[in-house]
Order: sequence, then C-alpha cells, then structure tokens
Amino acid sequence: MNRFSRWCLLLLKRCFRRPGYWFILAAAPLLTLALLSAAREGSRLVTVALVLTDPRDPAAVLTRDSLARSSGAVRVLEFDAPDSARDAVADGTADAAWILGSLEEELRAYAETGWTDPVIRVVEREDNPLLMLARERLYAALFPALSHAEFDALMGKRFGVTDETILRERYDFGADLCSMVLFEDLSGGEREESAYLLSPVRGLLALLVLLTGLASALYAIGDDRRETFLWLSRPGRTFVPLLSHILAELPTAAAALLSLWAAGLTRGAAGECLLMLAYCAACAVLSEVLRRLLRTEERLAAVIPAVLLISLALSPIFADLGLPLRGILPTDWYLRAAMLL
Amino acid sequence: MGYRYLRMQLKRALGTAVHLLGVALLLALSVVLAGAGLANRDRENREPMTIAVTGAVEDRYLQKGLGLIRALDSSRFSLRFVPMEEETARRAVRSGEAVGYIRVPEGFTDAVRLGDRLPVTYVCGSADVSAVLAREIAEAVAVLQAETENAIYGVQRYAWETDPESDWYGESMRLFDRYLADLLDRSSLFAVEIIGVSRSLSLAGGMFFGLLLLTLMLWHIGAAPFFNRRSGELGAVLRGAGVPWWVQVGAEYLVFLLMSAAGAAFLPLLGAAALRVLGQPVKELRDLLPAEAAGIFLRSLPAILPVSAMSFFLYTAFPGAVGSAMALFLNAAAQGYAAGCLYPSSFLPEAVRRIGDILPAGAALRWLSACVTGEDAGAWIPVLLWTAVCLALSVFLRSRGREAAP
Repeated sequence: MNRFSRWCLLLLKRCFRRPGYWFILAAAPLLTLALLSAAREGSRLVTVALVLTDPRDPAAVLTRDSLARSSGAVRVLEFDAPDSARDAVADGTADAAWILGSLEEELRAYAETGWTDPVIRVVEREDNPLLMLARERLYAALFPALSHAEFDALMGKRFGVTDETILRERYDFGADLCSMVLFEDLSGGEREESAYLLSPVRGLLALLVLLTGLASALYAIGDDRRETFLWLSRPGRTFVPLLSHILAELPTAAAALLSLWAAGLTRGAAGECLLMLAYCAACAVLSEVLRRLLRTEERLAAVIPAVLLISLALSPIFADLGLPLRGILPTDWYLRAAMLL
Repeated sequence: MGYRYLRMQLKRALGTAVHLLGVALLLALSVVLAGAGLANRDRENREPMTIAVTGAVEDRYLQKGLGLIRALDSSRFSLRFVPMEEETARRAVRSGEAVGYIRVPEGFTDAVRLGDRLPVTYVCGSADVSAVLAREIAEAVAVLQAETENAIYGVQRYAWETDPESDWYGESMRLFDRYLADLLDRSSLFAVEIIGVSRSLSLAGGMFFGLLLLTLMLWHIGAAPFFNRRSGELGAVLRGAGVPWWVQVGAEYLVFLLMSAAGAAFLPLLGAAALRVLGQPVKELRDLLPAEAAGIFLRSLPAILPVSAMSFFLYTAFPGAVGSAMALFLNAAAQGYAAGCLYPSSFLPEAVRRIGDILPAGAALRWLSACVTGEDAGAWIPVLLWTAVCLALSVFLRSRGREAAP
C-alpha cells in the first residue's frame, strides 16, 4: 500500500510540474465563474424593437406595458420611429420590429365586424420558430386589449351597455395573472429564466476532465518513447499508464466538482463524487484505448479535436439531439447519469 | 536569412501535411455524421415534445387550457400532454422522455367555479432552451385564460343580475366561441414583412459560420506536431546570426496561416456537405452559383487571420503538446461561447455579447458576416488589430526566452 501511495504521489507530482496542467485546473473555476456571471446578467432569446406610432393610444400602451413586464424570452427595446426600428432589425441589433398603430380603434372595429386589416406591423430578417413564438407573446400582450374590445362589443350588442365605468367594473375580475403558473425545477427550487446559459457548465467541465485524460495519454506516449517505465514488469507497464490517466484526471475532477458546487449545480455530494469517479475511470479507459491504438503523439493529437468535437455535438451539453452513436462517449453517460441524481 | 528560415518552415509544414489532412478528414467525418444524424432525426422523429400532466387531470377547465396551448402551438415547438402519476412523471423527466410536467392542485375545479385561482406548477426538466420556450407558452396561456375568464364571468354575472331568466350561459359561450375564433385567426392581426438578409446574418447563417470557425479553432489543436518539433536552440542561434525574433515569428506565422488557409479551404467543403444533408437551412447560401460561392470563400479568407494568430500565440505561450492542446481547447470553448459559435449570440446577455464581439472569434465572425451581406466597411479593423496584437505578444514571449519545446 505504501509503495502504491508513493507511485500515486510521484505520478501526481509529474502532472503538477507542468504549467499546462495548472492552467487547466484554474480554467475549471474560471469557466464556471464566467458562465455564472453571464447567467446572472440575464438574457432573452429574442430582442424586439417596439414602436408606438401613437404613444397616447391606451391599447398600445397596455400592450407595451405588458411586454415590458414580461420576464420571458422576449427582450423589448423601445424606439421612437418605425424607420429606426427597421434599421435595428437590418443591423441585427434587434431580431424583429413590432410597430403598433392606433390599436384601440382598430381592435374595436375588429371586435364589432370580425374583420380588419392587420393591426401590428412586424418586420423581420427571417421568420424562424423563435420569432413565431415571440409573436405568441405579442398576441398574449395584445390579448387584454382585444378581450376588452370583444367584451365591450358583446355587452353593447346584447345588453345595450356602453357605459365605460360599468363595463370596466364588470370586466375587471381582479385576476392575479402572475400566480396562475408557478415554475420549479426537479429539486423543487425556482427555475431561473437564464438557466439555459448555465446548462452547458457541467458538460464543458466534463470535457475538461476528458481532455486531461487524453493529455495524460500524450504524456504516456512520451514515456514510451523515452522508455521511462521499461524496467517495470509487463503487467506494471500496462497498469501504470491507466493509473496515471486516472490520477491526472482526479484533481481536474475535484476542481470541476468544486466549481459545480460553487455554481449551485450539484445534486448530492456522495452521488456526485461517485459519479465523477466512475466518469474518470471511463475517460481513463478511453484515453488508454486511444493511446494503444494510435501509438504516436502526432496521431493522438490529431484525434483529440475530433473526440472533443464529437463529444460536444453528440452529448447533451448544449442540446440533447438524441443522435445515434452517442452511447460510446463517456460524456454522454456522465451527463445522462447526472440527470438521474 | 529570413527567406531561408521561411523556406525551412514551409518544408516542416509539408512534413505535417498528411497529418493535418487526417485531422481535417476526421473533423469533417464527425461533423457530417452529426449533420446526417440530425437530418435523419428531423425527418423520422417528428414526435412532439411530451409534457406530463399530474394531479387533477380530469378537470374540464384544465382540458380547456390544454386545448388553448395546442391552438397556440404554431411554431415547430409541438407539444403532447400525457396524464400520469407525479412519480412516473418525475422519472420520465429525468430520463428525458418528457421535457417537464404540470402539477394541477387538488380543488382546482372548485376554485375555478368559485372564481378563485389555484396556481398550477410547471416543473422543468432540462435547463436548456426548450424549457424557456415551454415556460413562454405557459405564460402566454395564463394571460389568455385569465382574460377569457374575466370576460366570460363578467357577461355571466351581468346577465344573471339583470335578468336571471336570460340565457346567460349561452351568452357567455357565444363570447367564448368568439375568443376561440380570434385565437385561431390571430395571425391575421399581424402584417409580417420579411426584409431578408440585410446587414447581418440569419440565425442559421450565424450558427453555420460560427460552427465553421469553432471547427477551425479545434483543428488548430491538430497542428501541434508543427509547433512541438520546433527547436528552441535554433531560434537563439538564428537570433545570433542576425535573424530577429519578429522575422522568425513572422515566417512561422505565415506558414501556419497557409496551413490554416488549406484547412479553411477544406472546411467550406465540409460545410457544404453538412448543409446538403440538412437540406440547406442557411438562406444566405441557398441557390448560389459556383462562382458566387467561390467569391464568398475568397473574400472570407481574412477571417482566419485573427483566430490563427491567437492559436499561434497560445502555442508560443504554452509549449508542449499537452499544454497547448489544453490551452487551445479552452480558447475554442471560451471564444466559441462568447462569440456565438455554440449558442446564437442573440441568446447571450448584452455584456457577454460585447465581450464576444471584441474577441478574435468575434472579429472573424464580423468579417464573415460582412462578406455575405456586403455591409460593414470597418470589419477589417479588429481583424488586423487582433492579428497584430497576438503576433506582437508572440514576439515578446520569444524575446523573453520563452521557447517552445517538445
């Protein structure tokens, strides 16, 4: 045991003597910190340039206020003139421009006749699912004004009520819209709007651990070339590289776990540690298999970007595409297992 | 002497050409395979996303709400609601079978009848963009349902209070039908004008060029043999023989640039193959004649200047195969994230976008965007600035004795 511990210490010491290794250890918390502060900044998926051509129109003001209050995927930037909003879309500052005219009058006509020209001008560079979804948000913001107009029209037609005070009194039911739907994550905590910005953290840290294993495999090829461990028995020569991969990965894994913990993304200490240990072992095996298959530093260095790119694309780091062949990647196992913790 | 050094570097680069081609082929294969898998999945697996519904699922008001959600589902974001027990729903969310579940509280029906509201809870599964979209639809439905209830109860109350014998239920249903018609006809309220690719790229275009750039940055990891076989002593000897550091760095960068250009010539082919299997989602590149495509490619070549200079600097600062591989990967991940190669930059917070825009990858993307749209006359400034800064830093490190060693 004593001899084994000494081996472990010496192999670890070899890692810590390399500046690149310190760099990657520092990178784990730095990467997490950067993504954490990015998520705290808050973000929206769609940016809209909003223009009220008649700023005194009550329905337009109601719609604008509703959009400004919403904490959803749409960020609203207000512009004074349709041309400047259009320019913002052309420049890419905004994804769409929504130009609101005299809504009150137009919605009233729509409610009474059931037909009207479009009431909102939408300018886009392209139409995509996100912008379609943003228009649903616009419809939801417009809906209170439309609903008032429909209600007023029916009350006027069926009951002859046109008095604004009575109409408002009858309509305003006192709904607390915000409390209709609550949002939680699986742990019962409140889900932040910008949580998607933090979702790749675990995957990127897992890639760092994999990269450490692959880097250790590069060192091991150097050891083979220099015949560093030639004096060991055959089983020893098989075991030492694998041990060195795992030992190189462990400090990175610890840094990754600490970073996840600091970002509030851990789900139970024991489960996380066990899972990370299993992941380190899987990465070490993959690195060792690649080292034995490729044999030279050049070939292994050539394969590293492909392994990282494939892991990035096939594992659920940024999105779960559910593509075939993903099961051969340790990152995919690790991330799926982490969801079950 | 400088010219001879350049020729020597060229010979060294040719020695690694087969290796670099292998890296490019591997990257190409992985990207095309991922693209093919994605396209195949898109074609075959058009199943809607599952949202589990737990709790008081038999509630007819709830059924009405779910109907509203289905009516709202005009985007590609298709939903399917499956009633199940809460524990089963949690397992389904954890295993990825469902994106989330709705918990309907007991007494929901009674509360609605009495005009009270008991909130339903939406429990999100993954924290990716789909969760944001699901939340967005849920919030829109909450507004629609609350306003519809306001109007319907308003009519019912008025009719009941003024004439209890009147058909108050029929009146309120008439209004409900009207709301449903409004909902189905909602697109007629908007006049959508598409101005096309204007002075910036489309969402798919931005992602396409971003991914190409990310692939190029990762491909640079494969250039390790070119840098790691470099002899540190030779640099000092050449310096003594009158070849200044900046000439050495310049010659090596020029050769690395040629290697990158060769890789960049390969990447569009890979991109074209990926686009072919994905059905040409990038509208900027649709229906291009070969001459037009070649023109865009040639104009976009300077985009490799800053990213190659950054990689060159990292190879100088982190000598050795391992240190450089790690540094280059982190560089690709950090720049790729901030500049919008991994997420569309419009999804990122303003501060991150600003940082991303000023990074070398951001400068390269700005140049690529300018090449396609023909706008942005000042796009060359950050490209040249970053190239100069990275090369100057490389010269500085060399002159301080930071030699690359294998």
